[in-house]
Amino acid sequence: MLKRIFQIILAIGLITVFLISSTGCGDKNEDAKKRTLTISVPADSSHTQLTLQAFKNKFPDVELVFNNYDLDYAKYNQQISTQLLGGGAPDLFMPTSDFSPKLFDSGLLADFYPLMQSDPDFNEDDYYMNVIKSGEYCGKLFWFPSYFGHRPIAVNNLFSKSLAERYKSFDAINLRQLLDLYNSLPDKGGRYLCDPTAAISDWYTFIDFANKTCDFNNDYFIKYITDQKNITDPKKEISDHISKGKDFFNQWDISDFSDSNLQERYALEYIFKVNSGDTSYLSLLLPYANERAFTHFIPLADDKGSLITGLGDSFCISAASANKDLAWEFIKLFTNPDKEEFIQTLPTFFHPIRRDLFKATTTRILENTIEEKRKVEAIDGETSQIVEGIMAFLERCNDMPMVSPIRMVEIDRIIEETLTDFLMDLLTAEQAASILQNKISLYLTE
Amino acid sequence: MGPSVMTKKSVLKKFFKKEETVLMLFALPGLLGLLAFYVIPFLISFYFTLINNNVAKNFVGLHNFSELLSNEAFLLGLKNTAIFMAICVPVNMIFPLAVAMLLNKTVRMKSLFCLIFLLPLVIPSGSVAHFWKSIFGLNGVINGAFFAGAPVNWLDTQWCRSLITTIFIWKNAGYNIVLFLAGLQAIPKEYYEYAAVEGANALNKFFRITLVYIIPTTFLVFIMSVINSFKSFKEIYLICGAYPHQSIYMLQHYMNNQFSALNYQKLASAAYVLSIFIIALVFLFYRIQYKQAKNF
Repeated sequence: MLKRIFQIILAIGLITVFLISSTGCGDKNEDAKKRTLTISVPADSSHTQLTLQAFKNKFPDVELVFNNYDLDYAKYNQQISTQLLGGGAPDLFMPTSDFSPKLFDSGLLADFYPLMQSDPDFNEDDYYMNVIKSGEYCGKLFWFPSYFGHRPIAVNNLFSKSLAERYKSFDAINLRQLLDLYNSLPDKGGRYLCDPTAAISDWYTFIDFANKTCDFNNDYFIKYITDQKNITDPKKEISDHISKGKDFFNQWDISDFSDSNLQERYALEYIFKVNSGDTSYLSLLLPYANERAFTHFIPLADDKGSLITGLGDSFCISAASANKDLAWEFIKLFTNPDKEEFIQTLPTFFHPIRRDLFKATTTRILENTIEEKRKVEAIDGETSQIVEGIMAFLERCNDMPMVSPIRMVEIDRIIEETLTDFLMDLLTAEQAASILQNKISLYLTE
Repeated sequence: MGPSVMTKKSVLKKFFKKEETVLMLFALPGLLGLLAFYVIPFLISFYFTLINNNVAKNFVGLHNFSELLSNEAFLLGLKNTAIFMAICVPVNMIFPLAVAMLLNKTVRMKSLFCLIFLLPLVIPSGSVAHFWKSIFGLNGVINGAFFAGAPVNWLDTQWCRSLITTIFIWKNAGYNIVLFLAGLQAIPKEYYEYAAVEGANALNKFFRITLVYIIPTTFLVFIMSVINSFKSFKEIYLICGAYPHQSIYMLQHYMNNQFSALNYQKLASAAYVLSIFIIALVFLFYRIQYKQAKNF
């Protein structure tokens, strides 16, 4: 009886081994015939579809597997993580905001620099390399952006002409300088610096990711958050501020001045407007904007003078991918559309990472905006001259040193919780700084 | 029916007649589950401790362990876990023993008291966390009642270790009380009567009779307390989050956070170090208990 059971188990084992080995051989034969590039994205776009088509045209022998998660970010993040660990990750995938940059240390992602260096067709001068390198981590580049954007700051033009003039003397401005400008006002007219959601957002300048250290528990930071607290309206609940700030972001498109009541209400409360990814900040640069509430776009910088940039539609390559060369080719096509249709699909609030595309798209956007505005009001000067001036300013900004803050969900949560308690008077500035120092240094040393 | 068939049948009969065999068969599904979901994955995870990452899979020997032992966060977790155990395990044995002895003396309301002490054990961890947070949070009852002007941050200062210890005792004491009570009730009353006749005082009775007879129970309580002290991570995590105050950052925080960061090498190495730590501890106490029982 036992002998028979043993024989059956042995037979099942042999059959399994045979099946597994034969399946493996089949795969190898298939691989020899056709290569497969797997791409996963949390959301599809017409630009992605056009790139897929262009890739198919350029590499007809390569089979493309495209996984679109239809905005199901939770499922996307969970599956990509599991696939990365299991070795079955797609060759190419887009990182999301929940994507932990701690992955950089895990060796699961490919470095882009060797791919760029070994590609004779890749010319660094064609790209804003300062932007690309802003996403560098410990000398390696784990994501490659397609677009980038500045953090535009506008001044309340209706409040004080002299303040607006002083503000305009900056090429780029950091939050500390904004606070100093605000504090220097003898009469603030009951207005606050800017909405708190915008102000409380750039803590990454206090973290050194390369050396895994942070510096929150010092007098500078304590004064910094104390000033930040003082610029928020003490009569209002912090939750009111946050929901209000969000409402403004969602409802008020700064290029659309039709809702003048909303604009006036905002202008009555704030000296500056700090926008994160405002879709139409270019309008702030148009000549007619001088007469509006918020005008004179200046990009937000960190304490070292590097512009804080947001990277859009980035791609990562799995370190396990056997098709890194193909994945790189796809990224080059994605960032370098050579057809008119591609330009039409580019998001206007980001600048393309390629210099030539930036010129083509931004020039067209500005021309269209000015022509549209001319239909309803008079604008001094030739369109081409206005556009040329704005483009020169933007190109100067684009060539400045850039920093792309690495956003870590866990750090965001720690900062938000601690500073909310501080703003609600439950913690002193010293206590908040000490808590941040302890928790974030713990996070970094793990 | 040939003689060979008869032999086979009798062998099977003999096989199933043995009590151990039957017990093993009953335990088999559980053991298979233990093997499939705990033992085998644990053994496989040793492989992860020897490679650099899941993609390159380069053999790095004991590099992950040496890196782990020089990692500040891991060492902090190890130190805090040891301190937590050193405080919680003895307290969670002495306090329940005292209560059990008190309950053993009284007859009235014994079941009611046992039930009251057991209640925290059946409350879900989420509710426990919410309850304690509502008491000791910055906006909690204590701050509201006594420190409205300058709220004390109980959960993010040195106070949090005492708080977490209190929660642990509150939650786990009931179970140990019941175990000790059962152990105490098993001691024949005659022994105490003989001792009283011989002129033994209360201390003599406790050390010479009670403590000696409850050694097996004490050992069980010890093991359970050690295990529960590791399981207390759930409550600490729910109350103070993934990055609590540095005095209550446990090894499980480190491991949990490595899991979130998809770093299986660090996670597996930490799991092995933790296992060695627990096995060594349990083995040590098993030896002590064995020696005590032998002397007795």
